[in-house]
Amino acid sequence: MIVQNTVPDRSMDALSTGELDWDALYADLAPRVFNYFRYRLGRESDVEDLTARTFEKAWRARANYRRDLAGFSTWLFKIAQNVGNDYVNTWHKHLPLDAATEVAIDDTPALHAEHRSDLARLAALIATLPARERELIALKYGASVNNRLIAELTGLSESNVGTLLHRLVKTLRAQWYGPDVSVRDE
Amino acid sequence: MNDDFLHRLRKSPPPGFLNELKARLDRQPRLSHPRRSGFGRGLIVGFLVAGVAFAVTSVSLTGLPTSAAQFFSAPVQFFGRITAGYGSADREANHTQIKAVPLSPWFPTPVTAQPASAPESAPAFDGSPGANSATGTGASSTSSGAIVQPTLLAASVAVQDELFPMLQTALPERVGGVRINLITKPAKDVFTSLCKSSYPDRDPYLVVTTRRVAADPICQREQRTSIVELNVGYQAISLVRSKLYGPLSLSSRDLFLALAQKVPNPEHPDVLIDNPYTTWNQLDPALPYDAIQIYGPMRDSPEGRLTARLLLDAGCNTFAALSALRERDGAAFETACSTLRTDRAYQEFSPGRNDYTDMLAVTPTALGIAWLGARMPSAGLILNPIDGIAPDYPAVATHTYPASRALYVSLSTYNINSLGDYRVNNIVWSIMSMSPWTLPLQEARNLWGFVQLNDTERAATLADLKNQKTVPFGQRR
Repeated sequence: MIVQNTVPDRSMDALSTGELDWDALYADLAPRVFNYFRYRLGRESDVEDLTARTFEKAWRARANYRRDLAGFSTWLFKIAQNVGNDYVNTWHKHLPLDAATEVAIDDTPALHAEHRSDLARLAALIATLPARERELIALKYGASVNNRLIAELTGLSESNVGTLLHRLVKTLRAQWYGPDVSVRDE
Repeated sequence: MNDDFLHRLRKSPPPGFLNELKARLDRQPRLSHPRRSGFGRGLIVGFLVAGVAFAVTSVSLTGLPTSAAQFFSAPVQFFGRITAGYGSADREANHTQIKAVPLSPWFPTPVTAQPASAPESAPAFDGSPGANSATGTGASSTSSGAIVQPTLLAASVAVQDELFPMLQTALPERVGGVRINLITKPAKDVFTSLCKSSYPDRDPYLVVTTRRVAADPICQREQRTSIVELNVGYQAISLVRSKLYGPLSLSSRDLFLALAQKVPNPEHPDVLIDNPYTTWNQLDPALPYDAIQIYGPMRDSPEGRLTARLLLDAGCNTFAALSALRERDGAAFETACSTLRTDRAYQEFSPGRNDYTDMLAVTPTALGIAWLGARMPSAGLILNPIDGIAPDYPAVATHTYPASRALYVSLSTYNINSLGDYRVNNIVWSIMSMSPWTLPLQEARNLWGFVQLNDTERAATLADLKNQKTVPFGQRR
């Protein structure tokens, strides 16, 4: 069973109270968007830039936000997804120099993983996953959104999201802790 | 399930970053009012559009209504006839009805129904010059007697042969209730019917051509003072090249020598020889030592013929020997000045292909063809001037850009008066509004190179028509 260890969605509370409290929304969502990009890219570089880009886009288009169609956090994370997709599609071949040390080395991930930060370790582990699975991890653990919202953002069913995440975490945990993971699981 | 190892990777963003971003966001203008539901607005717009369509249909079918009842009943009956379907007998009768008149800059005066017993008051118009047979049927009534069907009119439009595919594609069979009979004519004969006084004036007869009526020998000889000439658009093409090496400094003479199948022998200019030039510097030492390579449309296609005409014509006229040939042997002159070479210097590669830009990008010394009236092909290409003149609308409109020419409609004032100025206006408007973008690709290629007039020139053309500004023979306009 997956523990729903997510940050309470304060922005949803704000939605039900009439006029949105933009300061509260920013305080709630900025760290989550920031971590979404950290988990998705698996490094620190460019994360601030992408976070800023996401909020600037959203703030410019606030007048177009339709609260009757989606929650604000859904809308914002959709923008973040698009910003991330644009970045990955356009610039993934041109990593900045300061990101060079964080790029996973394909041939010996296990050998080098010990010497990297935890984030780099995670990046090395999820680098082999398909894009959809990487997105699930970033939304679940970076953005701390619940399975229902992930389902809205990815187009999957909520139960499918739960199943996929369960398998993913199990696989990652085995790689993270080593072969004796079954003992630690309990 | 233990997933703490994933949660504990989270960290808070640097406070400095958060504060700076928040300050940036706060500087953005405050949001406007939230968008209202579009349904109500859509409903209102729908009613307005339907109302306007209803009114226009009613006025077009019946002229200005004499009563409110007629205003509402006419379109209802019209659509009722359509939905009821045509019988074979009715179809012939229905073809004689005047269809809705397209809107134009000045709104047409209402169509006046003509009774069958008085055909003289609305002259019977026939397409063929010299023939006075009536093509219209007499006025009749519907079974309900509510709508009087006016006489069907026809007008002949003589088109210079190389423009015929374009007009055939773009001009509808009927314009504002007038049936259009397109007739193709060689360029040298295109004005004959209009200018010869032996043809009766009452035949509505429009001429669409690239030639000026004042320069035509027959028209000059006849000295008719009732000819109106209207500029209805242009044809133009431009050369494009990869940005890598910049534009080539080409003259129209260089282009002729680079592209024509036969060129004057440098030692004996009176003799035409197969084009021997293979590199640009053979034409002009100032040009680079690059192979002559131009990608253009198929030689036998309408675009190819237009390319040959526009790119070769200006340069051809710079050779005295060829100008003399024009007087001596017109056919030979036409062949020499409108035939593209068939070797590798000119390669058939349609500008409509998706990879046209890529082809020019990978061969940066090559030139390509682009249509001035079209969207520019790519940001990676530049327009190549000819004779130092960049291909833009002002250069085309002032006739300074060599690879362009104007299109004219010529007709007599009697034709305007007999057909009705608003009907002529609609025909001219239809020609001026031809656009390849509204046609399927296979048909649109007939219109490549057509450049519509801008609003100012269009208004000037329609004003000339309205004022019936005639061509003063004996002096060029």
